[in-house]
Amino acid sequence: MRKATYQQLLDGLASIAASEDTKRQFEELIRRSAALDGVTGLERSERVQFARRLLDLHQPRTIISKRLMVRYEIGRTQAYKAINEALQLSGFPDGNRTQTGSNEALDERTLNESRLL
Amino acid sequence: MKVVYFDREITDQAPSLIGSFCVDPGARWISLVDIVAAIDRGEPVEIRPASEGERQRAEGLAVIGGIAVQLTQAQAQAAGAAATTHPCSATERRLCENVHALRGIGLELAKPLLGLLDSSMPAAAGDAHE
Repeated sequence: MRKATYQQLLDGLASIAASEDTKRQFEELIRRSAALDGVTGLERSERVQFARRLLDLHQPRTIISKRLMVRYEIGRTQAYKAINEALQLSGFPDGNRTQTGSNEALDERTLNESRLL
Repeated sequence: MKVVYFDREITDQAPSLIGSFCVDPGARWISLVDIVAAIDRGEPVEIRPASEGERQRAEGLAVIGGIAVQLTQAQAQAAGAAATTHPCSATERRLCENVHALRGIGLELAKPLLGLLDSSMPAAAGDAHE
């Protein structure tokens, strides 16, 4: 079974209207099936975390969606789904935001993506 | 008759869900015997291999099918436990409700995949990657 299959199931799961707790349990079932198939490193959380970090940097959503599209080779709809999920995660408090090294690293990593836009 | 062929790599993942030959359009599974019968009747038969998208949807169905089997087993265990205790305990009831909710999610997730074939998918206008 290919990674893209599991990735698509996780993406589909995110757009289903159901309780977050039930969705988390189902996500766990998908991830367990993936692990049994030797598939690891599914990107959903990474994609959402990336969007969350850009939101914390007060980047406009149009820019975030374009960066997601370039970085993960996804469509606009998927990019906005990731942003919507990221919006449901709590962000860094403003006071801590500039102290995180990960944000600086993020800026370096996304430099090339910015040039592409 | 137009037929889409799914290779064994896919059919072996969920033999009870995914067959080898699928009629396009309609996404109905048929067997080699049906194909031979159609040829015997003089019907033209076109067979093509499944596209990447069709393979991916079939794989998705196989994953959801596997999860559904796990949930059915969990539900049967819960029902078995409930049968030994009268009335059903709150924990058992919660477990049954939880499995029911998870099965519902599985069905929702499977819905867009059930069409299976490219011909049944809406065109992804304006979004080339999806």
